Amino acid sequence: MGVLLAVLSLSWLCQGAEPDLEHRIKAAFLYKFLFFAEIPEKSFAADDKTIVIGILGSEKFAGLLQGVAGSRINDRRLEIRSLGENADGPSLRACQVLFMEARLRSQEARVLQVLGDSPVLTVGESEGFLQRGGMVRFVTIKERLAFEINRKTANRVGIRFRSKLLRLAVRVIEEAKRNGQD
Amino acid sequence: MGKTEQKTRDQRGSGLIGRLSIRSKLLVLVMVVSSSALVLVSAAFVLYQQYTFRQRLVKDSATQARMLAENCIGALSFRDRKDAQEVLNSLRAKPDIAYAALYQENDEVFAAYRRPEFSDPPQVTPVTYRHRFEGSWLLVKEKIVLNDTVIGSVFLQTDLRQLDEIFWQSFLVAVLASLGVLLLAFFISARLQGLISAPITHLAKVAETVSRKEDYRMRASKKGEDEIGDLTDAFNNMLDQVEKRDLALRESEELLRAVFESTGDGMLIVNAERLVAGYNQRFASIWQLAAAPLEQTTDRGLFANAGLRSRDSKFFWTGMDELYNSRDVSMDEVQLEDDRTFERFSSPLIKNDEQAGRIWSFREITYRKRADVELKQLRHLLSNIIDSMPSVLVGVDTAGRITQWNREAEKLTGISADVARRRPLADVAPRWAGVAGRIAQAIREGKPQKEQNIRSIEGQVEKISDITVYPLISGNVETVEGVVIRVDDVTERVKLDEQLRHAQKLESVGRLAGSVAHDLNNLLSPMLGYAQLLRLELEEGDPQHTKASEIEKAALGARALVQQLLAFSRKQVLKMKVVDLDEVIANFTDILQRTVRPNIKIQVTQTANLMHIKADVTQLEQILMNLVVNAQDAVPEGGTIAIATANVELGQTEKGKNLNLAPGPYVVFTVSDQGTGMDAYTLQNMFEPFFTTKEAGQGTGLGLATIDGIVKQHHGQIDVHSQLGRGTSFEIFFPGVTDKKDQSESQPVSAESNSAPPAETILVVEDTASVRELVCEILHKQGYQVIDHGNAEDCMKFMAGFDEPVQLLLTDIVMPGINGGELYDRLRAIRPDLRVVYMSGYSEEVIDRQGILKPGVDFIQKPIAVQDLLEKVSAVLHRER
Repeated sequence: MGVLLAVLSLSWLCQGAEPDLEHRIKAAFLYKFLFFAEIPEKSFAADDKTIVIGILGSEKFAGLLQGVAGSRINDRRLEIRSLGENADGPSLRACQVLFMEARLRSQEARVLQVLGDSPVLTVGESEGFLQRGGMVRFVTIKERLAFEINRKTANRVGIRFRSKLLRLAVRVIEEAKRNGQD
Repeated sequence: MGKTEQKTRDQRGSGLIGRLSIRSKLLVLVMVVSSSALVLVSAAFVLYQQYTFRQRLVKDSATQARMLAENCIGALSFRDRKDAQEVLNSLRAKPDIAYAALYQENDEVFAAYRRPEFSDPPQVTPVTYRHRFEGSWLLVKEKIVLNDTVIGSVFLQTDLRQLDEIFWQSFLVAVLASLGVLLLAFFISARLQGLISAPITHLAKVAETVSRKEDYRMRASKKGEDEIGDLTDAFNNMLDQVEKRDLALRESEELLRAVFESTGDGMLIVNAERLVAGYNQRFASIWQLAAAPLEQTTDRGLFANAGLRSRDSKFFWTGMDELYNSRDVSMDEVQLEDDRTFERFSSPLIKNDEQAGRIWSFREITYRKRADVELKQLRHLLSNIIDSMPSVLVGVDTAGRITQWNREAEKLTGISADVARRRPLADVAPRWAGVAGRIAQAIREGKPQKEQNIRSIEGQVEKISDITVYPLISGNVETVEGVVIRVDDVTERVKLDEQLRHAQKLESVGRLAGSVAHDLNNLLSPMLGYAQLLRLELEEGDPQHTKASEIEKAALGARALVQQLLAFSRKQVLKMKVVDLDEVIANFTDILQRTVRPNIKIQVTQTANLMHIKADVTQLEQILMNLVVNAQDAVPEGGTIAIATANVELGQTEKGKNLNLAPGPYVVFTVSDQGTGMDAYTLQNMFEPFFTTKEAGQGTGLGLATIDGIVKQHHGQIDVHSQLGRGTSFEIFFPGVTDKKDQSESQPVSAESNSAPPAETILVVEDTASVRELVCEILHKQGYQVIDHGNAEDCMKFMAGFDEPVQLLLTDIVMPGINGGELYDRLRAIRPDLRVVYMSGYSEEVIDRQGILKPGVDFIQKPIAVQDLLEKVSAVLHRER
């Protein structure tokens, strides 16, 4: 509870859009995405009762999430893994949510390629992340943190987003049919 | 509802509702019940409506809040106020939501919505409830939870005015529905109450009619199988019973009336107030009353108005007042003016154990009384008859106890009827113990039993009795209730029987003697006649004269013997005249004295003023002779034979003397001796003909029999007293003659007075030739012209052709062919002057039976003595006509 309060207070603070606060809010969003997205069972190793958020980037950012590590989500224990900057395929694919910091933009293509069709919810910051095959990208609009969603990519690997999340997204990339509308 | 109101309604109920008809009551009931039900149902409906609506409102609001929360969860999670506001604004579609707010976890308002019409939302923070009613608001708060963590809450404020609206709507619906239902109920119950009230009304009407008309034959018709149906059944059942009772009561009344009227008794009912309650026709006719009693008539008034009065009014009313106050029954006899007698009964009339009056009944007993008297007289007569019976009559019941004991029984036993009655016969009269078997037999067989000639000694006299036992058979049942024993003293009868037998014996002997005498007389007539003629023709001193005399004497002796035979057979013709017995005895004493042996003295005692008797002197002399000769035999050594006479007045007292003579004056003469006397056997049999104590050849045995016959012919009796060794005395009773004049005394006729030779012609008819010739010769010698014939026919032939005068017919009576009487009658037809003298060897009695010897007719008994014949013929010829 205390952790949540902390997260919420962080999110509250996030309104201020300071760089540290921005990370904190992103960490909170990252955590909350778990509640608004459905990750297929095949993503989980057999008998593995953990749900893993992998962080490609700084230890610091991973540390922001340590407050919620161990909490139970859908009977799974939340594990926060700091994957460093060069994580190999299996460790990448072992995650259910993978966050890539914006400064690692160069690796985005390789990582997304390694992941291929693995059911891993990929969250990024960099521009063109969604076009490269990412699923959710944080954007800041008028000092307010928002996100975009590539539903097409997510659908391909079997990840479903809740409508409430989709409604809150500033942009949603739909299937080909829908592309014309975008 | 207040208490006062309640009370008022109750009072009204008992008053007003009580007066309502069942119809109205049912209607009121239905309306009250249905309206009450409707009020309750409507209230429940409205309240339930309110309640459920509130609940629904709460639920709706909660749902709304939850939906809001759900919709806002994303917005709140990702801090999207705009999205949150949009979500809240969608509440515009719900006009009753006045205010909505989205709170963050720290209860800060994240977004809010207010409906413009509601300007003044209430202060709602902080909210700690899920829902609450406050004023006209419903406040609902819903937490927003993400992964078990409350991340905020939603608050909704709903306006409740619509609830009021709905309340009033439902209230209106309820009221309208109730009114409709009430109206329906009114119409339905108005229609259906008939189902209940109609049968009750019908029942009530029938009951009212029944009680008004008292017609218990009516019945209520049953309209259903409900309780009213049961009530109708019960009512009809009750009517059945009432009808039955009514019928029974009526029948009983009619029966009573019929009994009351049919009885032969006059009945009067008087109530406790002494008012006449009723009487029957019989009573009215007895007292000659009007048919129906007047109202308010007292018993005294009733009898005062009666057509008849009681003979003794004071007696009639005596004790009446006490009777009316008592429960006793009374019975007495009342006699009416018209001589009718009534038995008056009265008994109390009891109603409910209280004296309600008295019932009088008058039963006519006039005839019963008369019958009683007659019965009493009859009973008296019967008892007199029974007592006057010469027989002993004793009634005995089956147990052997005496029930009847007549006077003769008292006399015989010396035990009075009062003592004898009801005692066992065996105790009272052991003398009849011997008939016990007969009594038992009579009871057993129901037939009379007889025991005859029972001999007993009463005192010193032998008595002979017949005992007859008659069973007493009661009426039609044929049961023997006892016996009547009749004891007849037949001593007298038995003796009479013996006498009768004796008389019959005498008569048969007499008849024999009579017939013999007739033949003897016919034989003796010529002997005597010719001997007399012969003697008359011869000179006295001539030896032939003596012989003729001897023949004549012997013939006379024979004639006497025949006379004696006739005398004992009482067949002789007596020549009765009034004589002085003393004189007869005196005249005869010499002859007697000469007849007896010399050592015997006859002593005669005469009586001064001895009554005369009517007797045949010859017979008296015969008696004297026989008795004296017998007495002489009793005194072989000699002695005195006493002859005495006496006047005797026989009364009842002389009965013991063995005399069977009517009371009156008698002359008795006694011939007694002190000789050997007689034993009982001789005494008993001495009068039997041919009974003799003498040696054979010495006596005829006719002596005493002849005396007995003579005495009886003279209406007298012989009484014999004899004791062996002390002597015997014969007392001979003759009825005394008080009137000395004797009409039957024949006029003395002397043959000598007609000495001049007669010139008359006499017609002699006699079938016996010797007698005819003798008679002819006697008459011829006397100078008469004699014409003789052997029978009547010859005589009549001769007379038919004979013109000379004939003065006298002398004829035999009994002849073959026409008898003497008839001959005379026929000859008289041609010779009216012809006189007649009959001759006969038979006695006068025999001839009399042939109807010839009428009084005054002349008769001559054979054998004919010359003198007798001539005297008779002369007397008849010279009798003045």
